[in-house]
Amino acid sequence: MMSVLLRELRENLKWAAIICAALLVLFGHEIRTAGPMFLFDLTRTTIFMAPLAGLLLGVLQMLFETRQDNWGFVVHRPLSRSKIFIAKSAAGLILLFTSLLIPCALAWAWAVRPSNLAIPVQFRMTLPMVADVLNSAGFYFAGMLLTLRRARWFGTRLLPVGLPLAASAIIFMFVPEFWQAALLSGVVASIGAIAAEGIFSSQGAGSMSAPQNAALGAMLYPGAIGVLIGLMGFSQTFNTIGHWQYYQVDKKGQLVRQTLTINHGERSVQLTDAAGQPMPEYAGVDPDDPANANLFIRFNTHLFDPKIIPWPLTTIMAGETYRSPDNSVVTLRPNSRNIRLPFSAWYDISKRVILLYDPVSKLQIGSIGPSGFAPARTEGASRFPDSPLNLFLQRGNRVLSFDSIVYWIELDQRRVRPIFTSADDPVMSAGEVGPPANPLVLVATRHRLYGLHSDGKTQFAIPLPFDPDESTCDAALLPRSSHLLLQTYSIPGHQSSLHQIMEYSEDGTLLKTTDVPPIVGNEQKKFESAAFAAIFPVAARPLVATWIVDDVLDVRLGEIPKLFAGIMWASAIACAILTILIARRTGLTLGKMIAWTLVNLLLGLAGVLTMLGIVEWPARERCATCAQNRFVGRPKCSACGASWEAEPADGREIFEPDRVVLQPI
Amino acid sequence: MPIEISITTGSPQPIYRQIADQVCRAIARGQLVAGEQMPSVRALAELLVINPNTVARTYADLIREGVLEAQKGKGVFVASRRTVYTKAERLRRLDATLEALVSEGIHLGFSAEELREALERKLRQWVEPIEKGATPR
Amino acid sequence: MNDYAIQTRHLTRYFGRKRVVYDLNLSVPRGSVFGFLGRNGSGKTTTLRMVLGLIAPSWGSSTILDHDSQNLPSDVRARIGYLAEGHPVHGWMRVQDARAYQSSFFPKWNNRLFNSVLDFFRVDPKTRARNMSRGERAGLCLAMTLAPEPDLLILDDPAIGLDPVARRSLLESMVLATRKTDRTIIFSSHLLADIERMADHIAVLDYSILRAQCSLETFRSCVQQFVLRFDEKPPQLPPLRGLIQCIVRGNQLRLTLVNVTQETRSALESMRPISIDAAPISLEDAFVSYLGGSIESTASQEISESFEPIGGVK
Repeated sequence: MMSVLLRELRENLKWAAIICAALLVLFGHEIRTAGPMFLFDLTRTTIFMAPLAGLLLGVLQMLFETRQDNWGFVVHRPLSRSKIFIAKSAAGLILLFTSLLIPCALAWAWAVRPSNLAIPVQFRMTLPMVADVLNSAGFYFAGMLLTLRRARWFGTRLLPVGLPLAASAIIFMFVPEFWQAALLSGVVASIGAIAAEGIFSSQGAGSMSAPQNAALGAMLYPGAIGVLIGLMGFSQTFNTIGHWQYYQVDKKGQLVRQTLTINHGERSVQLTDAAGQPMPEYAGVDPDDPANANLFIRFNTHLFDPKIIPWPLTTIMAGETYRSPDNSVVTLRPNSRNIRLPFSAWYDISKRVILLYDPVSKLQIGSIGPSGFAPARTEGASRFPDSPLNLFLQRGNRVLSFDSIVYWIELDQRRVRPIFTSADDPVMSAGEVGPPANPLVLVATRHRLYGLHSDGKTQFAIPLPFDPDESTCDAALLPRSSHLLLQTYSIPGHQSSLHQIMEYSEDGTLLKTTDVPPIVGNEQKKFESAAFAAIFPVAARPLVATWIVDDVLDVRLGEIPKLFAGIMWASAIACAILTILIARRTGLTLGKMIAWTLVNLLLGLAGVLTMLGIVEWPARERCATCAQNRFVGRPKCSACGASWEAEPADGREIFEPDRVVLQPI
Repeated sequence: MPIEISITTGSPQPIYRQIADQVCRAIARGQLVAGEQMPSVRALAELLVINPNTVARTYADLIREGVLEAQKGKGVFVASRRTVYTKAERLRRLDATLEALVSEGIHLGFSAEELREALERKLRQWVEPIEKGATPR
Repeated sequence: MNDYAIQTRHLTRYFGRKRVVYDLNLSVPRGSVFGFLGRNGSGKTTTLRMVLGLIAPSWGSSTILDHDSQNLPSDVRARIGYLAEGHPVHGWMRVQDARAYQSSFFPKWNNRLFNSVLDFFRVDPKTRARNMSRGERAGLCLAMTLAPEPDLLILDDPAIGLDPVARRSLLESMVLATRKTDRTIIFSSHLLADIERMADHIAVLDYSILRAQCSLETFRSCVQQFVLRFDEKPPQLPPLRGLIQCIVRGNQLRLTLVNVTQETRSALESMRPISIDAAPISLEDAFVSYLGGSIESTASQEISESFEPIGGVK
């Protein structure tokens, strides 16, 4: 086994070297324009280079074996085929990981040197790159499958890439922790390895075992789903009419409905009131005109209990993953463009201090803690109690809030000032609204909402106007009246879908409450969503909440629940019938037919496509005995059971010893 | 190797027959004398690049005909006497050869007189040098 | 231990609609040099692959060295040397690399045999396999196959693409391989000269059907050619079982027949020729007629094959 491994290493070293060199060149280019987020910027490269490298290496390593005689040469040895495959894969993975990790290690070594980056570099920052590298293993085995598998229908050759690609997408969008990403990559790689080993060992067209077929199916299925979704998406481009509705609030606090219509490529926007009636002050106003960029209020401040946000909104919307820089070091910036600071400021989560760096020399200047500034290389400043609340919204926010205390950051003074403390009612969230020169600080505890000046004086204190277990809240200040606007939403997936806008005066008196009407669905979207329901597998129903699908794929399944269910089940039954027909045409045993029918009932149309990619499609001919169609290459006729017949002798036969005529089996 | 043996593929004569004929001819011409050692089966097979079984079979046939004899442990030698065949057997074999000779000659259109002359010529080439103790051309 | 190195039973293989091997009952005697003959595409390579367990049959079974082909244990595989068509080897390997690689797999390794075969083919130790000539590469692959001293040697068309010198080296290596007396060698070939030199048994595959399996001598003796002379134009042929070729030239009929029986002779005599003579026939002509011609067991034959028999026939 060692000799196979060493031979594979020697044969493929050159490809690994090329990959390593290519990555070094790309990284070197990044170094020349390196900013503090250097290690995260590198993931722009690794996220496509690592899968590409894996795919390439898998393909190249199996090219020799695509010829039957070469495969025989490799496999006709006193060593089981699985062991040969394991040795091959071990060599390939060693080369793959080494060629990808060496540039990463060099980048890390460069980043860590004190005068290269003006940021406290932490090992956690390399995790996104490492996750991408680990993910390449799945593509590696997909590459092997690509090369070896004899695909009957042109184009299905590429399907095995579907599973690792889906895994990449999931890792990118949905996975918060590094170990989860690594685990997912490991699972995908294992499935790919099992399928690839099955194809490798049966290259001479022996049959694969059930687990190997299942693994192969798992590799093909996401590709099939991807193809179907792609077709749906392609058909959507034929939409000529579509309209989208949004609600906005204008500078007077009025609710305005903005309707975007695309009609045969022509884009037009109408502004009406909530009832759909035209508003005279917006007649002829085009919101797309850059001059009208500030027509509406921007709600930039968000108040909510981070614990109620469901996954996967945390990862998709808030980007709260290991891939986000905010997971280790948060960028702090002064809120006003007028202030130029001679340093960059970072909140270091593990050290729980604010660190200041000189952008020119890239060295640390000092740190800021609750007790003030401490220069570098001295006993550090005192620490903050914890990670800030709303960590992933901290960037650019001058309010630093913790459970028990809220600080106001004054970077130009190199200090933080406590402006609010709470003993019994823990702080939930805090932020600022209004003009940067004269902001209103909002602190939300579990029960109350406080409005403060930046010097700490309380302006108002009112009961929290929304349920923190069910809703989030966006805040903004009306420019002329300085009235506070709060927009509250329910968390998706909750029964009550409350959407309100509340206006408060400067002393906290509630002036107006507006209910925002629900957005009316696009008829066209309903049609697309119904079509999409036809490819939605039954098995996914309990696993994936409808609103997640709606969010990610931009469909409206939630609006048509009965239609969705009906079409989904109708499609499932049609797939089951189709499966039975395919099973009969390909001559599957009864057991296999039942198994596939159940599987495709649950897995839908993509399951049928996967089945077509896996089962053998035998040729047919007319049986000499019963004149029915029978399968070529089987000893007995499938219709009448007549056995194959020996060829009659034609007088030329020379057999020695005399041929014993063996009875047909 | 005392004699030159060569074989031709693609001939109507099987290889073992070609070797046997060449050995017999060499003995008849005096190129191989009684008691001379033949090459081993393996050596001859490797020289002629043929299956050793063919050589083995040839040697076995020649041993059975009394042309060669096997000496246990030492190898295969040219036999000293040809006493295997009875006179009757030898006459039968001669007669068969003569039959073929005469019928082919008649077919080719030669007269009895011409055949007799040709036989005389052939005998002069073969037998006289042997009687004189030299190797024919 | 069985008398046979390889035995197949109703071995059949279809590829899609095409029938490649059908009802093959082959028995390769142990210790023989077995020639596997047949036209291009008649199923020889597929048969060898099935026997080695590299392909599964459509139905039927085969045993190799007393083990089921589809479930060969590793130690039995170590005793089988296989040289596939086209002499496959990793292109980057030089002689030294090939030696190190191949010898690492087998407990037995005869380095002298390895070097002898390389010498026969005059293989340059410094060249990489991909830069070697066809003959050199064949020599390297053959050396790799022979050095582990297999009990069974399977060579699939080993002479393909080789020039005459390399072919001679191939035959020399095969003779060398017969030094181990219980070693079985099975090789497929189109070159009847090589078959004539090396094979003691043969099998003839005629487009998926086994037509002959016997010793070479039996084959030669079973295929006979007769010349029938007539006064005038030869008459219609009576039904002749085993007729594989009929040439008319003037007043002569030259017939090639397989398995001549008394019945056949009577049928020939029934045509009342002036004379019936057995004509000598070379192995090549016998084989070409055997596989090239079509079976004519009924009458009405003018000229079925019009080529001249080559070499040696009077």
